[in-house]
Amino acid sequence: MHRLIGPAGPVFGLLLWLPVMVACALPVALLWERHVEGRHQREIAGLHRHRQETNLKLLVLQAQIEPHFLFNTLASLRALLREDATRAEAMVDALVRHLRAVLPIARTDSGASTLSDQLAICTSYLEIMANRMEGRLAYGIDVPSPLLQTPFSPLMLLTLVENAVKHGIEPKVGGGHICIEAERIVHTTGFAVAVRVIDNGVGLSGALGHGLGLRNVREQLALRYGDRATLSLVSPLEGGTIACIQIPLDGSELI
Amino acid sequence: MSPTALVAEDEAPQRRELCRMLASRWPELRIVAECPDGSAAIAALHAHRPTVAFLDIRMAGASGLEVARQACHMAHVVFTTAYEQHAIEAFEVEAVDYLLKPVTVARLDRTLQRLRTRLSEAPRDTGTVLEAIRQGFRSARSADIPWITASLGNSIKLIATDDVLFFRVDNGSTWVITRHEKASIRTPLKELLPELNPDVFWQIHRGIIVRVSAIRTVRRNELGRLEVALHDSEETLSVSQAFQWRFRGM
Repeated sequence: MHRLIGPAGPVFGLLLWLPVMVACALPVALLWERHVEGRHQREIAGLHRHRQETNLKLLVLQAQIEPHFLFNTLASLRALLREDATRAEAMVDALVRHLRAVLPIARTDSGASTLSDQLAICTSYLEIMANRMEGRLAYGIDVPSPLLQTPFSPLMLLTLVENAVKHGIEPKVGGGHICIEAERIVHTTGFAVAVRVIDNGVGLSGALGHGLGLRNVREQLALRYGDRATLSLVSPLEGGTIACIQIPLDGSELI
Repeated sequence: MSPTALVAEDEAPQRRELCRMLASRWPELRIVAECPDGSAAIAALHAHRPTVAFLDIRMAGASGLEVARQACHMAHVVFTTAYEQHAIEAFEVEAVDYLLKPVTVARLDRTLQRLRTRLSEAPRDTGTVLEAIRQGFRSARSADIPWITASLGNSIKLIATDDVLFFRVDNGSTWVITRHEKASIRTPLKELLPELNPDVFWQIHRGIIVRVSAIRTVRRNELGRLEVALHDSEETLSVSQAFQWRFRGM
């Protein structure tokens, strides 16, 4: 079972105990205090249970490795083995990194994932795809270093990148490029980080898949941040697609 | 005359590998076209009229299935696919030739053996099989669509069906309204309706489909018509006579 609680967990706990501390200061206290304490313990237990249920839900949402991806990658490897052993070796390494990150049973992360971790996972995937598509796919990552340690939930960014490849670049004759960018945004309510996956592929007007991956991202964001996080996908007139995840930067996940 | 082949596969290493394998397992077969996408394959098909066409199913430009439709009666078709459960089942039922990727020598040999015996015959008409597969793809996709593509200013935006409060026809365009925005969509309501979950969205007017859970109150106005008020929206929507039965007994 992965621990998915963010650094905000203990802070949140403390906040819950605040009314108890105030009650302690009152002279009438003892009985009242016990009453409140009991109630809060029950509330905390309830929250704990809720968190476990949410974690389970999140784990299901994250389990994803497509047979299509795996078999095609192996087919390319079969070709590269004969043509270029060094390239084949690099591709095996990237595939292993990808599987370790994505397969639920093989995952070694503790759940405290950062944007930097997620960019590494996306890079392995893009490296595999660029190798397979040979010249039809180029990619770049442009994230300011202060943002790299931002807590960032597992595999959401990968879903956006997979979509950009599958629905943007692969269907485009001649291929294209994908760029991952991040920036800090100031809202009236506080800071946020926006991570964008930008491609110059066929755009949203093309046939859509069933959109299951995106639906999972939405659900993950809702479970973790309520309505303080957003997912948006837009195709500008000039083509391509911009997929953007925006999450609050104060680190206060709901769970 | 030696047989000729077209190989269409959008991933270059895989394309080279298949050509290499074909050259070693069937040396008489002359590869006349190696195509990186479906459009190139269609052009090459007409230009070279190959005996056999090896077609990847998923390709840019045109899918392998679309290329195959053009190849009808012209070339013997062998599909290649990494994993397309639905298509594979159809191929099995209809005895259409296909190769699973990664292609193994043993499987390729079996397929080539079959092809050699068929060369003297006219290529099969795969029209019905392809139609069945396309239908299957479509039915796998429809029903309860999670996303809607809508125009917002100069761009196209993906709107989650879960966010939609209602759809309305206004001044000849169809609009989708969420808590935060209003955007126009190209799909007419008539086509949209079968794609939406009937338990979640109700048509209440010729030009209105509303999310049931967004309905706050239903009341009769001064003129005796039913009106629906919504959560998270100032708008009231009128229920036309034909759909009033929905609210009977509420």
